[in-house]
Amino acid sequence: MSEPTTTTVDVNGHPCRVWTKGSGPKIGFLAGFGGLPRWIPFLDRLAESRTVIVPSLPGFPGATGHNILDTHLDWLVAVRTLLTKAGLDGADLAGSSVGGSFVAEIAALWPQSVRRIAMIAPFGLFDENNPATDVWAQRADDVPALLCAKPEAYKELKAIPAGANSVEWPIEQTRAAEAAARIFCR
Amino acid sequence: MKMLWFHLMPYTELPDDFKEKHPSVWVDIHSSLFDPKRAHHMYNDFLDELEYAAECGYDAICCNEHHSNGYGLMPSPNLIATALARRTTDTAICVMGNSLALYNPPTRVAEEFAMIDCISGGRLIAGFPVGTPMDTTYAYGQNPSMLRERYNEAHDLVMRAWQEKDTFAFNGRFNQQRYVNIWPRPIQEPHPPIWIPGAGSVETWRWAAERDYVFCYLSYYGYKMAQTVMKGFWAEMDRLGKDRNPYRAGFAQVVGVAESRQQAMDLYTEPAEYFYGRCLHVDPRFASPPGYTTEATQRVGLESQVKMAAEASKAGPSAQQPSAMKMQSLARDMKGIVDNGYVIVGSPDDVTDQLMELAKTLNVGQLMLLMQFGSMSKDVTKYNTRLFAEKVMPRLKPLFSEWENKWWPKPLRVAERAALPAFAGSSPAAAE
Repeated sequence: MSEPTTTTVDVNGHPCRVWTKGSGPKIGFLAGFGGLPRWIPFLDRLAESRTVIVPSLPGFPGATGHNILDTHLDWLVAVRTLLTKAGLDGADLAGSSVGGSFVAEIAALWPQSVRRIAMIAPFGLFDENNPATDVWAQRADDVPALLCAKPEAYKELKAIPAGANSVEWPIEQTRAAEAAARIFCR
Repeated sequence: MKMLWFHLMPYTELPDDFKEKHPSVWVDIHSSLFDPKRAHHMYNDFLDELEYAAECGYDAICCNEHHSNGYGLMPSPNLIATALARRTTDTAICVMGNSLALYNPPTRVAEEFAMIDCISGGRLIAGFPVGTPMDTTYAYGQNPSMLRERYNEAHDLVMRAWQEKDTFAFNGRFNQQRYVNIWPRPIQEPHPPIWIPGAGSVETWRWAAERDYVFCYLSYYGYKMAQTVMKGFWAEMDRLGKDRNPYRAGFAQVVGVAESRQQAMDLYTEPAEYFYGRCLHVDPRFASPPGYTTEATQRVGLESQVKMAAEASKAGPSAQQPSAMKMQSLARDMKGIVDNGYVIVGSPDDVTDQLMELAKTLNVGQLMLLMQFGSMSKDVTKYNTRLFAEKVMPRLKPLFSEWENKWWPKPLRVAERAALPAFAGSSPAAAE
């Protein structure tokens, strides 16, 4: 599994990481709750036939600027800016969890900016008679099994890489969970 | 030294198997455990106890705000404070306090605190907590990521509302009000003393010190465990060029006094075990929502953990600083509770000696005493309160007399105050 190339774009004065890998028609991917602390095999599969572009949402790993976004409209405008600057205007978009919700909303508000969308477990639909599990109110040990059919895969995703800063890594993971919470609840 | 009598108002009849059968005392505690008819008696007992503390000569009586829980039955401390304002005359009333970010608009806090200050004749101490994660994020649905920003803005709005003489417009990030003009306005000028409850956050210490507010460390784990936090606080005051006036700081301590140590153990074991075992039984999943703790505070905590882990690996596991969860696990029974210094129990001499040590080592002038805790009955509470007032209080009072307490209410002179209650007795003259 080779590493993607990394660039950075500016959204509201804050840097956001953009990963790119593969060749062929462009497809953008917006990650879900917690973001992507590292490249994952799923994106490699996509990159076999497509140019995969993975911009980090504000506050997700590799990006900051979540704490100036107060309303959901603030977020949508920021995501639209991020996608455009990442070269994804008019491309196919896929997303999971909160990223899945965003691709749907971007397509609804700016239909010309998206060719096709694919959503994986989009977050944000809410039935008060059957509320979704609150992922922000969990014991840390319970989170992997709640979010992933293969808990070990989730643990690997979040495990601190060799040589990473042992203070900044957990702060970055917490920041991503905070950013995800900020998207849907004012 | 000031001694404040602080009531948490716990639900006193949680079942014996509460901890085993219920995941949390907060947020999703089951409604079937709450009996309103029993709560009628609890509230009235608690108010009696607070009024009794005022009669016994404590400098202040205190209440606070919590939601959706069996730990403290005061969603509105302002209701309690108002009742106390009518039933006491000279004691300060410390509302510790109103969680500013939970009020919409926050001018409600400015108004209600001003009402309490007017009704009480200027006896209010105004506390501004951020609020626990359980109260703010989970019970009240506030986004932890915005909580502190909302708190800061609400604070600025309340302070302006108290002090500006003319109607003004407030156009904040979270609050927009075209006409801010509160009626009533507080008696105390320029405003009631402001106290900030908090824990080990350098940012909170700095924020409070810059505004000349009192910082109160509300820990339930006793003065021995509080040494590191309060040393850090005073070091930060030194760094900011503030004096070491002990009245800048408050500390909460659970206390049980009796004629002898054995008698104290007999009286206070059950309520202490109830308090630590049931009232503090909070599901960890409600303890730290992302965004509640600032990144700067997370960084300090993580850096100190890394450092302590390194030191502990040299010195052995016992050198590690206990975490809140560890501290809670040490409180399983009265022996652990007392041996770890969470609760101060004993004869008047024992208690006096320990509180002297507390005052001197923490350099704290505003001592908040938790003298009803857990399931403690009204009679035992009365006994504890009275014995402390008679045998301990006089010996602690002279402490720190060389310092001025600039953070204490300045009530109206007695001659300026209303007679309470005006129509008591057979004729108006009887009230005089």
